[in-house]
Amino acid sequence: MKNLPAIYDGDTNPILRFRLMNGGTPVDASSMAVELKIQDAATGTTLCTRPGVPVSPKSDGYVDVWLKGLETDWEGAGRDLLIVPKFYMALDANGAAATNVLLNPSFDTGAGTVATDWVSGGTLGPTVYELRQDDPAPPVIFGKCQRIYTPTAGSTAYLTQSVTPSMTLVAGDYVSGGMWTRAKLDTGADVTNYGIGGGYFIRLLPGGSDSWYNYLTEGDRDWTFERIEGRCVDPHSTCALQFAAYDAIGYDIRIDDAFLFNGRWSVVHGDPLRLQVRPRVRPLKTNFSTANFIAGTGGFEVDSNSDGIADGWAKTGTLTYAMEADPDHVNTALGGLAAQKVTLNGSSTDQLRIIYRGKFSAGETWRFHVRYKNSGAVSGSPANGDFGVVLHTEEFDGTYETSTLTGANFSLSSIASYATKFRTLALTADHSVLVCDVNLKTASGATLWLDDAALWRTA
Amino acid sequence: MANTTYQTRAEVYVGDTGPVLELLITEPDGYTVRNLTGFSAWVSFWFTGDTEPRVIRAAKVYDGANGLVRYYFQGDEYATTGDCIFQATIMSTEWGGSSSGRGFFQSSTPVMKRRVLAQP
Repeated sequence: MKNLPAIYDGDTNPILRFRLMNGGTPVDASSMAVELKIQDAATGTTLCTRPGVPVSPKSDGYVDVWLKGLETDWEGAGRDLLIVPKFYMALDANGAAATNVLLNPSFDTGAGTVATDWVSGGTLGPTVYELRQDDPAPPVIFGKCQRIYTPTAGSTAYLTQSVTPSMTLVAGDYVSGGMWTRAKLDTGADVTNYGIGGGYFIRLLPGGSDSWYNYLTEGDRDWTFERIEGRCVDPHSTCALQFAAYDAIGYDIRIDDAFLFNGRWSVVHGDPLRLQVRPRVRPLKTNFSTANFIAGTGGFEVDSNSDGIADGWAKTGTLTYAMEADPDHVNTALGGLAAQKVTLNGSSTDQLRIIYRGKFSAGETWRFHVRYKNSGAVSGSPANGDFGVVLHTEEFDGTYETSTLTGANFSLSSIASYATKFRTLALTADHSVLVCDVNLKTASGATLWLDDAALWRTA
Repeated sequence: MANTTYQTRAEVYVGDTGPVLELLITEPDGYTVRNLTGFSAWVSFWFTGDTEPRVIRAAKVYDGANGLVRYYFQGDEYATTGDCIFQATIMSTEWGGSSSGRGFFQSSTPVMKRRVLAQP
């Protein structure tokens, strides 16, 4: 069994990499999908499934392992993990790597709504198509994925190739398809006639009576590889591969890395890889309201790249940020030497964000707080949550949950001494991410100082 | 994945604040320098027998392209006698829902140890 480089409890390390080899020769990963089953080595329990991320060029056979933190967060105790690769190999009738006949199967080319060489069809209704590059951890690196969103009922929307691929299929031939999919659901999401025409599904359609469906499991899900396979009764010269969302209300889908080929899927499991997650001393969830999980970055202490924003915080927007070292404006009561200074100008887009990854379970309550003061009364009428703190989960990571927006805003009055603004989030589902946002929208006319942000578990 | 380039002394005294702790962060292969541009870093300190770190504080990525991190002691790290254990963690800055969020990464160096002696 091959060992991957050891990591420490709680680390999220996307650069764990292994190489597919056949004897001494690299295996071309172009005609395969790789799923990784993450198991607890002691019990054999499967903890989660992650996409294996083929490294460009795929012909070199390198695959990256992206761990999100849920698998590695053992509250300091560490654990040995087994990573079992599952290979979906597209093979032709002779057992050789099959040719994927789709154009732009990675959805990486194009801009706007639908990827190049793909087209939308059906009764569109309010369906939203979007080519996105902003979803974290896609199954391919450096690429885009296709979004399909059906906010209301009545859609018979589908995506297919703009020119149906030519294929030479005779009676008895197998034709197969597949793609990566992920889904998140709006509140109240529903499907009419699931499995009998309704739902989201992959369809293989050579024509006539040869037509096959794979209805995807309903519900919120992270990247999963779905495949479909059929055996032709009649000869065909073309075959369509469709991804459809029929009567699926409130479903927000991503698809990526699709396959269509003459042949069958071969599914094999590779040798497990052992990953040692070493124990370490770290903040404990059981120490309620004292163990700060963002202590290393929440203090707004260091700005390594001199961009005006404290290390560890990501931001959007156009406000002017600067580090504050004047003790008059630093919350020195907690021992810090710096604070974050923000000049408010009414921007409608500004946010600061820290993402903390780990294992967060249903029943836990988490609190995100930040201390703040200002130079005087703040102008503007920001909506609830637009000028304050919000703690929430991430899409595609279990049912989305967020702290309440009412009451989340900083005071617009003059705050001369540091005050605390916090939000709590009582989780009703398991998650691997908590997102701590400081929203700085639609407020102006003053300077705001931020210091000593903390993420605690309170129950 | 890290080498201390300064402060190689194995023994320090209670309350020592220097010299700075400087770390060279490498890839898992142990010799390729990791580019830390855009990363944050912090160092956790605890003593043998502790269940939680006593101090967790930001460090500076002072030469990101060459994988160098510096931590400036503030005097509370070596607060008592005993074996002080510390570990640095680096983390990419990520947005999650935007293109900058593709490389979520949080990784920790091997733990290091100093014997903390009573002040003479």
